[in-house]
Amino acid sequence: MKLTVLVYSAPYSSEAAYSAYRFTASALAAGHEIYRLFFYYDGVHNSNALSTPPQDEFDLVKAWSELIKTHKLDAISCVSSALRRGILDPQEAARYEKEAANMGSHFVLSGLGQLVDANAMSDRVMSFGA
Amino acid sequence: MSTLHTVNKTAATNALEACLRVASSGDSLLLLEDGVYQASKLVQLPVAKTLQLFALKEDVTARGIKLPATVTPIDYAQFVDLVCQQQRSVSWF
Amino acid sequence: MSTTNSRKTITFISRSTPYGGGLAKACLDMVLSAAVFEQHINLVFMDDGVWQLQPNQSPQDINAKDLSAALTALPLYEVNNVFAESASLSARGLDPKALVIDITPYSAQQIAALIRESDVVYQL
Repeated sequence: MKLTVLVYSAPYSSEAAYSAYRFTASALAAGHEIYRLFFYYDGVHNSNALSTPPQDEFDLVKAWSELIKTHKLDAISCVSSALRRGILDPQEAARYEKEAANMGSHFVLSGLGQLVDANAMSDRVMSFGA
Repeated sequence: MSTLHTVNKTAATNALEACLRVASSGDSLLLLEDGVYQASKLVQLPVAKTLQLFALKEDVTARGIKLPATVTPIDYAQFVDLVCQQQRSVSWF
Repeated sequence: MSTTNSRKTITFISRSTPYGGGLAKACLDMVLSAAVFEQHINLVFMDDGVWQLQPNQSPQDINAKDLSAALTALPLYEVNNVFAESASLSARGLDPKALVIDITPYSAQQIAALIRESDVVYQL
């Protein structure tokens, strides 16, 4: 089946982002297609490449990046959620004259239209929030 | 054509209570994350008998709690299957 | 994106207050985006979400935008299927006929039926 996974929650603040990661990985292992990962609201924090957890803790941001890279997933961070939370890609950092960009390179900043498209084109949508 | 409801919170929020008000007979309910703490209380409610009840086994084990017999423990692979089998999912938090 | 055979019924269940957190606005933004892409939308206010319908909101002094004013734009986006759970309204002392927008009061059973008719359901 074609699945879309929507994540509303930040890593570490709740378990929801981790559940979303495990669900996504399991879906891929079972041979399903992940049509889109959509990070919305606090979920955009899953795309912050500067996340640096202690060495002995599970690095969820890195895990997402690796999953996205390995399976060539379409991982969107919603631009309006991301900007106000300080997650910027290089173009937005330049546009707003910020000192640095920090969004992981395997994510794309885009709008809610991508979620609407995902609704229309997926067989199932699964949301994770807290 | 039924619905999968997921609840990931304890009774500190009314997510489960809201879910149960609008669930339909024959729907599935998966407790995951902190939602698994509500398993024992859930099975005592009359409405629970009209639903298929599940709990995410990894979250149950993590918390050291014992599931009532009428709540089926499932893993992430079975969670994916459930999402595909049900017509739609609603995540309550 | 082709909308010809991909028009789905999307139901949004809004359970959050307007100003204490960002989920109410996040929900509304999803509703309006889906409306722009001509999906069939139901919007249901339940539990604390019904506080978004409280008249006389004036959030300027907390530096917030008036969410209730944004709700009045729903008909302009052709979002006309707007419901509120009757029990949630009465538990909070809200009169279904004196809200900031027109809504159809719905029972829990009616909301359950709406869910059964939907392709996708979001709760936030």
